[in-house]
Amino acid sequence: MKQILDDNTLIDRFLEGDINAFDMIVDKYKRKIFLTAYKILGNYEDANDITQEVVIKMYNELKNFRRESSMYTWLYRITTNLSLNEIKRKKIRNFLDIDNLEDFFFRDDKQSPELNFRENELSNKLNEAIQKLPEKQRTVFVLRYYDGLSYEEISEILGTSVGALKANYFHAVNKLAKELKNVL
Amino acid sequence: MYCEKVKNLIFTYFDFGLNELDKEKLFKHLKDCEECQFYFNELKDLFAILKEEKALVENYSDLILSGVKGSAIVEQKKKPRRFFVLSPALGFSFMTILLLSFYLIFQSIMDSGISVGRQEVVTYSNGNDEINFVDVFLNQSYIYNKLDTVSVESEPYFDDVKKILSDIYKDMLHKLDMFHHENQFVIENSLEKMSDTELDLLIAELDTKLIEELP
Repeated sequence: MKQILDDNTLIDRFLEGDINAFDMIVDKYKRKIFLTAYKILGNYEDANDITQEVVIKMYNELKNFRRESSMYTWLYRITTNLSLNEIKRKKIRNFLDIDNLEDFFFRDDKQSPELNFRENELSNKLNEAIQKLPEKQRTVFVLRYYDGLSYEEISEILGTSVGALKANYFHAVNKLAKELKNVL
Repeated sequence: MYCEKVKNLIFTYFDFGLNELDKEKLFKHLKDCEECQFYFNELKDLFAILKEEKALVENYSDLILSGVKGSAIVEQKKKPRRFFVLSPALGFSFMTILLLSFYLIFQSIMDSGISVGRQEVVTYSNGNDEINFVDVFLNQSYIYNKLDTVSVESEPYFDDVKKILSDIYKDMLHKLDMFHHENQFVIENSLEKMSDTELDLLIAELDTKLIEELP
């Protein structure tokens, strides 16, 4: 209850023109948004892009947020939708090789700390296994395990029944256990 | 059968925990059942590794996100991309050349969204039957744009692709004056039977040339 009140106050203040209130909302949720996008998409660069997109969308759409659901449910819905859209877009873009062109023209000269992190075998293996899960199972797994959401909350975000979500999570966990047998 | 129920208990134990009674039942069963012990240990190891990795990822995310401000992201997005900021004249020239090239390249093959250039009917034989094919070109960006407008919530990705391809085929057959309901039926059936991998390959082929089977 306190959480909803706090969010509502921040939203009100932002809508009245207080940009600091917007920064506070972003501070509160940026880690959750980033981690969700990262686990669905499987890489930090895309997760970073999606986090930025969510922030922009939040900035533009907060005035239309009807507050019937909680702020984080709304944000998770935006994050999962944008992430899944990105997967679709990538599948098509791969054929056209647009990403390589963009990399060429808009490459950032700063070296990302991700390079060192990628060397972490455990994280890589797990990430690979998660990426092999079907999209729905992957999304449910991320929201349930990494975000610690209840099935009821996930049901509100994805519009799927609790029973189906449990089945998705069950299959995802079993597939991961099998996939990681050699690593464990 | 009983072990299947126990496996559900094991899963629930790691998912959100069990009440004391169920926990007692579970561990009693585990003492005597090697198969369930194996499954229990498998999930125990998995969740241990997940926990370890979760901490790593969270720490790393905090590193990436430290100092990131919402208002700064919004401001940044309002600015044009750096490539063009550093060299506006170069950026303008580049964009002009790029747009002109695209216009010239696609002018010949673009026609109201779908580009279908009729080639010729070619007859192939598969040993027993002779099949007529028509070589056509298809503008892949049309599929790309179409996919962009389809909601992710409505249907799985490949269903969207099948629907779009089916519409494109239909339109294409109209343009070639070869539309019959039987043809549309054959196309929809063929798409329906395709695996995701086959569909992926088909879309890749569409980039340059598509060979469409016509009875």
